[in-house]
Amino acid sequence: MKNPDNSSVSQLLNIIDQYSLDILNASDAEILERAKEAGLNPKDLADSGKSLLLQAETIAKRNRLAKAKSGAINAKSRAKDNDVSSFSDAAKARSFIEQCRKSHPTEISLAARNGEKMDDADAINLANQLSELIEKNSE
Amino acid sequence: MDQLSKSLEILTLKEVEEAFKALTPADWARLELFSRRFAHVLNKHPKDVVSSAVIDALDGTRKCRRNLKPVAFLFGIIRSEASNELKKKDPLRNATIINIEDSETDDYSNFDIPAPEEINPENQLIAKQEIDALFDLVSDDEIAGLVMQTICEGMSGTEACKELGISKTDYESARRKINRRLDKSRIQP
Repeated sequence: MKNPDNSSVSQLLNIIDQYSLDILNASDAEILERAKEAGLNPKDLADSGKSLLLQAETIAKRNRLAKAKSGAINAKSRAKDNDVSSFSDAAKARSFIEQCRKSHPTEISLAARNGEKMDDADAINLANQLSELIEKNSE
Repeated sequence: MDQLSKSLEILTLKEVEEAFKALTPADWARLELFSRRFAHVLNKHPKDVVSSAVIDALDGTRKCRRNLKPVAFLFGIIRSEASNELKKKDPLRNATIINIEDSETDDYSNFDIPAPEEINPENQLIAKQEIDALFDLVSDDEIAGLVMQTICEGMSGTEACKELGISKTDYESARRKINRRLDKSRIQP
């Protein structure tokens, strides 16, 4: 294809983009009327939407935990690459905590968000605990 | 822009969740109508199209700008997924094929160099079928068909009126007809 911009794909996207703007800009009353004309029941749609949302929340939570676990394992692996078998160095411990926190802020930030304010011993202790937790979870 | 300002421009996952909980029946109707347009392309039921987008938003895969309406955010995710699917390159056409006989002579002239950004012909066909089906929806109205053609080509309303020699009112009337027909149509995945 010499000119992808004139492809069927681009043409289809142009039509749908126009349609999506039309739907977004229409008033709620107009959309509800159009939905009814299209054979849809707005109340059923809202009910099934709420149920869809509940299911999606469960799956999303699972995905977040999986990402957190994977990110933490990567952080641990990077720490090992830097010859950190256990954390005795406060700077390396803080760096590891930061990597864990960045890899998934929602799950790990509760424990690690005050890492900057911790004294060296606490930072080393937390890094070692996180490290052990990762190892246990990966077994 | 510093990190704090950047993070303030993006909704937190909790805020996204709250925004989705506040979606109105009209918003769910918008999502149903919109997702129908991509169900065929994504080979999914419209509800599964919406569900995937909601999951991507809630697990943080997709970020929502603070000034964006939640429905527009979900439209964007769905549109992006469909566009990526449609624009997938053809793995065979884009592969570099090496002629083994010539490989020892360092003669690279017979190598099949892939065309850049070549779209999978199968996806072109799916898009073509979809467009044909959409044109069939307005086959009883010549003006609506012509207006749809200008939309396909990416023309603005003003350009289309000039090109077709019709008034703005006629253009809007045709566009409204196209969109009402789209509301009622659904190509099964």
